[in-house]
Amino acid sequence: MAGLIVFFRHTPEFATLSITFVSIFLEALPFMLLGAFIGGFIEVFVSKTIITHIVPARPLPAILLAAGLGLVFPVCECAIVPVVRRLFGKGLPLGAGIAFLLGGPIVNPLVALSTAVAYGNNQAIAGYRLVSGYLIAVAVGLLIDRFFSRKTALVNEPRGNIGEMDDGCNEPASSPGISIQIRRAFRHGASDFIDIGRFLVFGAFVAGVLQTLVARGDLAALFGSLPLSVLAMMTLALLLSLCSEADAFVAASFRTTLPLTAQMAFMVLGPMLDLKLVAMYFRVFKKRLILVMSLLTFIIVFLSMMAGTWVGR
Amino acid sequence: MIRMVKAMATLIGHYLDVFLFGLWLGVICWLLLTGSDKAFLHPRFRLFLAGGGILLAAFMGVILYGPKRRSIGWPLAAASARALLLMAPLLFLSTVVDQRLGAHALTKKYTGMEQQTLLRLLESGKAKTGNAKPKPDMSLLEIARRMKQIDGRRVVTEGMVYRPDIMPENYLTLFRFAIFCCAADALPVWVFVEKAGVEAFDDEDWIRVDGTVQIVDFNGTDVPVIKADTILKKKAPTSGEQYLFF
Repeated sequence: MAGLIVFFRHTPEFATLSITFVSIFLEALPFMLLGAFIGGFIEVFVSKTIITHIVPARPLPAILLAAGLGLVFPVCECAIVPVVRRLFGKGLPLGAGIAFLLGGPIVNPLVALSTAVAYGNNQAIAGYRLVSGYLIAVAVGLLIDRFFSRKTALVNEPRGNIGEMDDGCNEPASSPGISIQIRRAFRHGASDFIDIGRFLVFGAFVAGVLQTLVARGDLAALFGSLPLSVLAMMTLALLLSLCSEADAFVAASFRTTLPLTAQMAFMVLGPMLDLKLVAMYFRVFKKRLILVMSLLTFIIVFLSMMAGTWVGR
Repeated sequence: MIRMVKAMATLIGHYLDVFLFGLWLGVICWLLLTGSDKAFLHPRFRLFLAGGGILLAAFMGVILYGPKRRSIGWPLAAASARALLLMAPLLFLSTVVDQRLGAHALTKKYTGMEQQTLLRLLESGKAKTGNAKPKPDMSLLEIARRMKQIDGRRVVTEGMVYRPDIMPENYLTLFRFAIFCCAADALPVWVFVEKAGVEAFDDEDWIRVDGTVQIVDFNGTDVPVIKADTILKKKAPTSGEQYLFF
């Protein structure tokens, strides 16, 4: 990074890279902080018993419920990672966590609104996006639940303290005062931000580099047929790492060049899987799970988009 | 000497995270107070940014008044590396305070179909504008919004110049970026301008164009062309004023 600044500082490419990188980071920062803050409160105030009571024991109902949680708990993809990480620490079943992680940023009233606006108040497109996102999150959640266990999927549970500080975070929970608990929640939040924030920096930087090097129009123009245009838009979604509340506007800019299926693939995949998110997933999941989950998500989004087109005919 | 280094390391260990949160808090305050946040984000994000600032202050407070990191050596080195990585965006931020997305960004974000998208995207704005005769002074976004309505009418607008080699003689592209959330999702908004002698302008010059709008077919798409009467070079706006906002 320092080399880039020293050698390329005065080039137009550097300006594009820097503005894009800083923009992605600044846009995600408040939501990342909010996610860390909520995660800290979950850590302190939500017990494993509560999670066991709320989340159904059987995988299917748990996954069906979790994939639609974004409707009542609307969080974007940057905020959801630290929240899910803490929920896993509280015993949230693996499949349900994955379904919430993938579905939450799409099955979300704010995303529905922005999608409808981007497509000239077309609520059908917003509905199609939400339903697709929900079904794909459920499918991936079920498959991951089938083939992985918490032990093979999750990295070590968050320790809940900053660095090696002995901050009292790990004291036995012998009913401390509310102010101590709140302070503890904030400390957990701060710890999560530092722990996951660096992955956000890395992901935003790589997305900035790719936005600087890859032209949106060229990528879309490379592919003529429907399957290839869907693949092109999915690749673009991976590279651009846009916020799920803004990506519909970029997808809409392709509405006269590419079929709706390709635009939908862009809008469904982006909030589930992009470079910034993959970088952040490394703080929650083991490499093998990230690889399998990424491939599964990519393949299922592609197949469901193609199937949707086929059914539509 | 060793004792001094150890004391220094302990001090860094105690206050590293406080410094990191404080630094980001300072930057957010600076962005909000100077309006520089608009060089990166839509103004509607100011509230979120302010909320982020409050959380940073709270995180900083609990660390400052809580127990401190005890170990030094490798754990401190790792924590320092983590903190440095979280400061990297600040390094880039400091280099682009006065810079703008320009012609290079246009070539990367251009899809060729922005006019159609904007026209449909902004259809909901029709009710607000009604049938009142539009004033000539309008942004490129307004031109996209009222493209059909202003065909044959006089407009005054401004933006940046882009003239690739393939551009025909007497034509230039006038463009700006419109953003929904942040500069990463910027959509180029552009029109063609026709006037003899436009070759005198360089790429990324800011100009003010006064002329008549004509809708022409460009690769099967309706796009506005301004037949310019006058083109004046103008001072570039500040980086916070460079974008149009949806």
